[in-house]
Amino acid sequence: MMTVPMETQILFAGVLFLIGLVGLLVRRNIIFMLMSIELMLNSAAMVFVMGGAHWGHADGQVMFIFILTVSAAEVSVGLALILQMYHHYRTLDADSMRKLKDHKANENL
Amino acid sequence: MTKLDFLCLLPLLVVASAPIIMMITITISRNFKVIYAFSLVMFLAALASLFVIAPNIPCKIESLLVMDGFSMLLLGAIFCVSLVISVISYLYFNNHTGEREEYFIILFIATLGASVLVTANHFVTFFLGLETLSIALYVLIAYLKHRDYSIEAGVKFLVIASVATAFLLFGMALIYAGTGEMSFEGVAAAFGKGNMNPLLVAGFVMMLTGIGFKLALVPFHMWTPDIYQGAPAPVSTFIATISKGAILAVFIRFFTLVHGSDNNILVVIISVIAILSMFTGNLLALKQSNFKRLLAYSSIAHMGYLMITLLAGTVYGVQAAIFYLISYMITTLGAFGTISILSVCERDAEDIDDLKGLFWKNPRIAVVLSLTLLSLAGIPLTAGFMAKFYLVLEGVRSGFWILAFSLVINSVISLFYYLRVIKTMFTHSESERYFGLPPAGNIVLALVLIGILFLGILPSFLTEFINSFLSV
Repeated sequence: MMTVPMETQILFAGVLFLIGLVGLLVRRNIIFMLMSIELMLNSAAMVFVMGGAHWGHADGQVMFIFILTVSAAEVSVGLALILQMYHHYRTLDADSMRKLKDHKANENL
Repeated sequence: MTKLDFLCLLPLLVVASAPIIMMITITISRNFKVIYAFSLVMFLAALASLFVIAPNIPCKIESLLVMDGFSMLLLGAIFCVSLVISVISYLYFNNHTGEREEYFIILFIATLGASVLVTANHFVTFFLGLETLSIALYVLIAYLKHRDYSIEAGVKFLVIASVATAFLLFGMALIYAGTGEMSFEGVAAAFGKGNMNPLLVAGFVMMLTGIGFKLALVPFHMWTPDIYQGAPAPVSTFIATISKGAILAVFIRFFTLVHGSDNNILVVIISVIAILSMFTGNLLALKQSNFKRLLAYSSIAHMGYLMITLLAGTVYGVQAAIFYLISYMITTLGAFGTISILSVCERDAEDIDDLKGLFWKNPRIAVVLSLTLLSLAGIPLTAGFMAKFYLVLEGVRSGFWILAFSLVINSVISLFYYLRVIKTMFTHSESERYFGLPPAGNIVLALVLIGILFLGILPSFLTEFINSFLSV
């Protein structure tokens, strides 16, 4: 079986992480933002699996399972929040939430 | 795992069992008072369990968790603060209607996350503790969902906290790929061999980014004022005290173990972050007319001050950090506690103008709040002064003159906006608003008052207490 060098693996994960980060910054739809965050978390999880394979440990894969579980919990709470947001603002556009600000908020009160 | 390991886990087990029992209780019948009383009992039980395990420290549970003097001290602080926060929350939610019981369940889950964080000794527990804390906080922040700001604050925190976690995880993953170790000692041993290759530095810097987000250090601070303002006042208290304290604690543990203060790159990065946080926090706080936002900016500055102890890299630094954290927790409890007590059902008493004439209507609250603000500014005879004194001492002793100087300059700047709030309390106002103070509120304020004055006048009591624990 051919093994891919460590540098390539980490580069690949790094590119995935960057795609997630850029997606988060560019997208305005909150669901897509959440998906981008998932991409970032999963790229980190992939580095753990790669590290585990490199050192011959099971630790990396154990960590992967933990990340999977925790991000599922996070998404479930996140989606509940997004549901509330949709009820409140009638849109999924993240830019619609701009009430909490340094000065604007104070003038309204 | 042996029997002893289970015994050492007792505080965590007590906190973890509380939400389960509460959930069962709620299915039988909903009663806000019962749940509140039960949570007080459970926090007291958690505190008592610390005394039970005290003879067994230091005790390691596999490589995952460690119960030593450091974690015992912080667990104690966390449980005490949670206890007071439950009282504040009860006063705050008492005049709300709807489903309020679940609030205490989530409060316990968040406290559990913080407790796991301060005992963490492994990347897995670090990550799990952090996420338990953060996910519970998403819910707590957006708890009063009918309010205008809470959903916005909750979603903002969701995005920011998840990004922070992603950075932190990627950093951990890089360090794991580079060293093959995940326990703090293992990583420290691998770092100690002197092979700081680019992979490890990159990993460490990414971890630092994640922690910077969580601690709201400049340039990762944007979210703090929004979250503090949008969250219910007791939840803001929780974020400012327990959440930040626990994350800082695990970072201090990791940083001292790997001797991060010996690495020049990291020292420069953290120094710049610290100075930026101090100045940005204090300068932005100057113009705030919202009390919660003002406290948020001041917390950014305080976290900047605390970075000095990290750089000192000595046991004295850790001691100063714990002293500072405890005094900061007490004063923040006072400040946010007052906001919670003065809040009404529709909105929080978060404008500085809400405090107008407070001294003439309820001098007790006004005196405690003034003392709290003076302590935050670092005026002698208050806890804040002694805490800052130890920080400057550490800064000077380890040769970080610039940091010590900027701390002093920033204390002067901060005095301006704290005094402005105090001035507002003493001006007369025509409004007929009545400031009531329930008995439990009296107790909280009295505790804060005693804590601030006691630590300010007799700091050696606490420092010796901390010493005796750290030397175990």
